[in-house]
Amino acid sequence: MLAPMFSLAQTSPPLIQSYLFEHLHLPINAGTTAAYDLLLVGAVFLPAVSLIAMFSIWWERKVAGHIQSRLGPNRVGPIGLLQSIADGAKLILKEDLVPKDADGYLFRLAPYLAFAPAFAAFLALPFGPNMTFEGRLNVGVFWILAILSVEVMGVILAGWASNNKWSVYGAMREACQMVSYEIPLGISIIVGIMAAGTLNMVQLGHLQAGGIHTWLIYRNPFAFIAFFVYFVASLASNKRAPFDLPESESELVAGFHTEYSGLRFSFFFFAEYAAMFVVAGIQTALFLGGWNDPFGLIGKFYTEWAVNSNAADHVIQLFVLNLIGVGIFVGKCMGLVFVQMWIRWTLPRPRIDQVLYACVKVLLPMACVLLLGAALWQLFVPELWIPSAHDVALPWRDYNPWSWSSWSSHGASGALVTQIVLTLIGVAGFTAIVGWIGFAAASGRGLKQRLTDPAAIDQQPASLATSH
Amino acid sequence: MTFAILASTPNDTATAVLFYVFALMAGGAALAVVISRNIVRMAVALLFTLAGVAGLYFLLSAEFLAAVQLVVYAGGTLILIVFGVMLTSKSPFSRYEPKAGELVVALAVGVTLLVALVLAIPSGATAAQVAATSWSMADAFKTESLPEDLRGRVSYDAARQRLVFRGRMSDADRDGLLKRVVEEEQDQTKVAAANPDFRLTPGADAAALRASIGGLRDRSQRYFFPERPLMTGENYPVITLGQALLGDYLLPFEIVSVLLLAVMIGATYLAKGRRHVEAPSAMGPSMGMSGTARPGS
Repeated sequence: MLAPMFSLAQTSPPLIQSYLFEHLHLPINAGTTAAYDLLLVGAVFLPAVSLIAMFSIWWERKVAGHIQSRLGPNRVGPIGLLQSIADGAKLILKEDLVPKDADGYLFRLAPYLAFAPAFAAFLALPFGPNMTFEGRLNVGVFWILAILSVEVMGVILAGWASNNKWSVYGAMREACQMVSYEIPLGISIIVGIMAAGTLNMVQLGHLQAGGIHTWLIYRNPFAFIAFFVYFVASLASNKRAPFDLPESESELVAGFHTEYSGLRFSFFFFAEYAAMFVVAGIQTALFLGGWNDPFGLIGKFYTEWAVNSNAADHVIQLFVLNLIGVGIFVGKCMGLVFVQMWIRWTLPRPRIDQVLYACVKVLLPMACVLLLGAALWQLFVPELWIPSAHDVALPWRDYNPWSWSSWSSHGASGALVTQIVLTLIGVAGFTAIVGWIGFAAASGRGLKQRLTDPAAIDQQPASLATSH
Repeated sequence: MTFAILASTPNDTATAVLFYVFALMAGGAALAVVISRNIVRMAVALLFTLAGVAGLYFLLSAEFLAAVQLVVYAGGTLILIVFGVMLTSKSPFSRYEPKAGELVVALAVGVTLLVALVLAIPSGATAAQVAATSWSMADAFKTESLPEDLRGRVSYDAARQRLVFRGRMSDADRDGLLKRVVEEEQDQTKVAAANPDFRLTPGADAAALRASIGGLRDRSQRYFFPERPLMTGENYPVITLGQALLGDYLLPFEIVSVLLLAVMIGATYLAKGRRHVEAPSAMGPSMGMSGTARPGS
């Protein structure tokens, strides 16, 4: 396993940086690299992350609106797209209140502690083979988990420093929830990592470049289940409904951010949406093939341009390929973010003891069984090894199971057959869900339905429809 | 460990600036932990200390250690401390006021530790020692020390700190060179291990080594930045660490996991043992100060 991994890592040089430096004839030294890094952070990183967060906020309101038979924001800009900017401007202009009896320092500090880690986690997300802010972080997944575990400190401090019972309750719940759900979250990530053998997120992307059946979710049955365990745990660790106990409006006013107003409140808001994207990003990179398309075309072209020939001769092609990869990655993440929103506006909220029960007695044992199963799978299920002169050949990545010639020349192994069966199940499930949504959207388009009544408003007696 | 050589060099300006930022953060926040009387504020200051130390680990290219630092101490231990304080303390802003005896013990322990650490710092190697033991990149790629088939095809450019290839070179040749560099690197590490006074030369050689290793592994020589080492294979610390932790050091590793229990007990002790509750009027009505300090506190 080591030898191919070795090569995969070197296929991701800082392409764009090199290209820019070479064509602008800049010397490569500490000063220029630092300047480039600052420019990257200021001009690309922060705007991109903010844009993702603002778009998600708008989208959440839109999704909520449509699920509740409303329109959602639709006044500012086309279909309300600029609503988040308008809200941001409003929040900046609001008074920044600090309660008299609050612990002033901690109260002011808490939003930053919640906000900064969520942004820092974006550093390791693999948007494209050469478009990762720090692709050579060889503990990428672990780094994101670590930095997200710091985020909870901001929430706890916010609740504590507010000196308000509701806030403290919210903070306590957050602490409980976070500490307990971190365990199944981490274990389900390990299941995926064991199948891959690396923590570097760019390498994870390269490992899944061979088409949809090489995505790690289909690598073994345990990874398949771990995908869902991860999703549930990530909802809880992100305090998203149905696990939004820390800010449950019906009981705790607004939970830990009850006392916050103006810009400081919006920091919490931003942090939440950034973190949603980050957990979806881990899931995409780890289980859903990262920037790769289902047909393995990106991996094929990338190998051709960057590995089998000199990357410097194909800079433009690679750049376009990277941009397509970014589009695919963000698209997949947004799909998962949409499911998070969908769940939030569909499911009721359990009690805190039920939330903890679900973690400690359901998810945690499940994750442990998955971990054990995945370990045994690695040990006992035979892999297919294709002898190849090509130095980046990975048996399960570079095998094309959809072509007869591969089967007839190389045969099959238990792992490969499982991979293909799981892929078929996954694709069938995905198609069924999307088809069902499409059918519901198409057939229910003209239907004005009440939330509580299966009968359409149009079909109600006139007295009912007009009485209010 | 081989990655010691690959660590960032102190004479790198950006690294130096970052070092001072992180060191200041860790040191300043550590002072705040000691000076503050409010347990939650102490915990927050401790968070910054830990984050600063994690930053230093990053500068040393010990990324795994940095992430562990964050996840175990900042994400686990500190949360447990705050959690313990919140659960056990009856006052919202409980203050910790140590007794005189505790102060003496703490001071004694602290001073002893400081002295021990200062004494443990190796005295700097003399320039002669460094010159005698350090391995120079330029020497390694002198024409006469190269294999015959490679002579004239590769040389070392000291100014740019990288290898220069002449003519087309097969991957096998480059891999041979790479192997050679890694072997030399291991030799130097052995020298360093045998010689306690020896400290790796932080200057050009280490940077050159990094540059050449990365450059060799890079298909296109131009597309490489020496400031950012790429660690793979044998230098890949996560794999090495993982094998060490689950192999030779399994038992110590498991024993250390009692840490969180110790933290929980400690936090409970700090919050519950001796605290001073401010007058309810000063705190306002919001938390309902029903609790009072235990007699004798």
